[in-house]
Amino acid sequence: MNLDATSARPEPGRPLLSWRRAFAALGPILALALITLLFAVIQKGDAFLTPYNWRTIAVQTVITGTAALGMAIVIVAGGIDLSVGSVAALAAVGAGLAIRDGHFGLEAALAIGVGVGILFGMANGLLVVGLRVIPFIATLGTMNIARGLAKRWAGNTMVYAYDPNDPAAMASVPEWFDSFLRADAGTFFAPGVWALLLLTAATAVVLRLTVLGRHWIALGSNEGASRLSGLPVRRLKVSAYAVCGLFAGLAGVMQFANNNAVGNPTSAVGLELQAIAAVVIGGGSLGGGRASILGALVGALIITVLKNGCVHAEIASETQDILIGAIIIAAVAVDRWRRPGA
Amino acid sequence: MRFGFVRVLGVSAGLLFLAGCGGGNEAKSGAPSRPLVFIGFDANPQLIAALKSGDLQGVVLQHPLLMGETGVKTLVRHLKGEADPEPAPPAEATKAEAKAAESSKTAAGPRTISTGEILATPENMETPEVAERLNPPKADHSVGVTAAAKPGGKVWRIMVIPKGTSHEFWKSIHAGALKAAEELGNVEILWQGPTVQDDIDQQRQIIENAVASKVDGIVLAPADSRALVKPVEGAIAKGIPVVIIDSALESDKIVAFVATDNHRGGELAAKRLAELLGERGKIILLRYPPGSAATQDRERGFMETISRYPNITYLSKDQDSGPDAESARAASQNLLSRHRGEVEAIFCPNESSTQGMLGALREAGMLKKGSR
Repeated sequence: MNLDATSARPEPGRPLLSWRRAFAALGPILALALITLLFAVIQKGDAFLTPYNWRTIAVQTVITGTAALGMAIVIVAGGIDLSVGSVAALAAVGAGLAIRDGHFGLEAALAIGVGVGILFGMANGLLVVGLRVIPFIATLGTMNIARGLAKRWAGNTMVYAYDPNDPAAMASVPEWFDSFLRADAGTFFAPGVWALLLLTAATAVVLRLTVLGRHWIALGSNEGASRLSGLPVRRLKVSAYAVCGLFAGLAGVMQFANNNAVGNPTSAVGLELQAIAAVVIGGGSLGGGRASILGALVGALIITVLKNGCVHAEIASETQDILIGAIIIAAVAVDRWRRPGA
Repeated sequence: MRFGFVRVLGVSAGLLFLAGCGGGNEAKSGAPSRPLVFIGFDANPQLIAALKSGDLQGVVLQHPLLMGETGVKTLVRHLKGEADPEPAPPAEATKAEAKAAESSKTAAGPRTISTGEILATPENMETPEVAERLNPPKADHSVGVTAAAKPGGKVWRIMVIPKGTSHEFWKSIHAGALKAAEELGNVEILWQGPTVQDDIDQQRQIIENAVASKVDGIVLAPADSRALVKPVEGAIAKGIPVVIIDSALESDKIVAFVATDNHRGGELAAKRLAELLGERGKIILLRYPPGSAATQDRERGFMETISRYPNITYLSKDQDSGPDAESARAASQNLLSRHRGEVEAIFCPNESSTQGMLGALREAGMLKKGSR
């Protein structure tokens, strides 16, 4: 139960901006700066700090970052969603099939993919409130269901939305889609990166400044108290899972774009764990009631910078996994230390 | 809190601005003037298109159809107690392939049958032999069971377990298995693969389930050369013979090992790469995650051959591609960002790593055509 984050107003007698608060909010960014500095020093070449490399890091963060935004909402509302990766794959397959077999236009197909995500998210929410299955188990179930459906719909193989050997079909793919997550596209960053920044800002505004957002936080902080004070607990839960499904669907269609309009039913395995890691590194609490949207974004960025930096420092793949694991634990340990009451 | 958030937003916007500053799209100066040499392994529609456009200078092709067919036929012959026929090299096999098959026959352990491998290049891809291999027949994975029973005869139930289901390669293995079943008659093919490519635990479970459901025999492409020895030998102990395809298993109790000579496949790729480089240059080997004997053999064959060229040096050979094309793309982006302007040739040892690297090369603008 963390009352700290439930109120937009500071508690009486505490200043609006204390050093501790500033440190808590800036923690993930400080960590990112330190990690960046570390790799800038230990890199073997000189390409780590180049604009091109950072554009690459930025596009690599988009899919995990998008999934992490939705995960932050579910976590702040006191839940968890393990189906995110499978739902993303299902959305990508759905978009691919809508084009290949349904002959929908690209935009309609992407909307269908995102719609699949929202529907699955709502189903998650309904399972949690309707059958009163704990979220971990309910979404563990839907994780398998969504993965199975994705493979089934796709006929257990890749869904090529456009025939790669048909130049006319390939030429009909619009430029914006093609360049959505291309490191060298766009102004400063690829369009997908700007989309992620906009989504982050929108999600942060909804969580911090709207009644719905405050209610999610209240629900995650203390479900019993929320119920007693007359909050629509069931509706709030379903809406949080639906929003998470929306972001999973968005991550899925981004994956679809990144994979040259190919829907891969076995993609995005473990995306949910990356998203949870991003939220936790960013200062979120799996106990509910506390998560930073910006923190989740920075958390996702830290994971990508670690992977990228290790290549520049010529650290082998297996060592990278160990480092990322260590960083997750360190992030939570530091978080406990800087919020002793939490 | 709200104030803190705004402040954080400001700081991060500043950081992002700094990172984005410099704008433009400049590659490192001193980029090599010769076009990049890119060699892959296996094919799918996108890779065939890349070969056609000259973005890929070569892919090593296996013969999955023959592999699936030979795997099932060898197993059924063993079940029927028939003597193994002399392993006649396939009709379209080259002299070198026949020689490879010959040499592997003398090796210790279970019988090894090589199904041959060839190098497809933009120049030879239209020849009938290569064109056929580029587009082998594929089976729809949703066909789980195929029975071709003759009345009265014993129907052999054969479980075929691929390493994964998403690669095109396995669809052709499946087609080969179905072809064998059709030709032999009285054979039922049960097709069951793990969700994630190379999921060892799931393969183990599938093997255990096959044993529990009392199939007559198993054809397995093991995701790991050691971890699956125990379940496989467990099945053999229960009287269920196993033929290993595609990737080796460290067991001498199996009926036979039917595979591409992956070591030689790696050699073919290395020779092509060295030839196009003029035996001089800096290269990247993007590895596949450890465990799979097939890709490890390819990498070994590649590296042994490259070591004969003193003027070819590695920029990187210790990064792995992860399990799928998306993870391979991210790994490739990082490598290319690090070695842009230096790298002159790249080898990827399987379909997903080649696919991921192709996407990353395109976005980095490192292909001569700059096509999508």
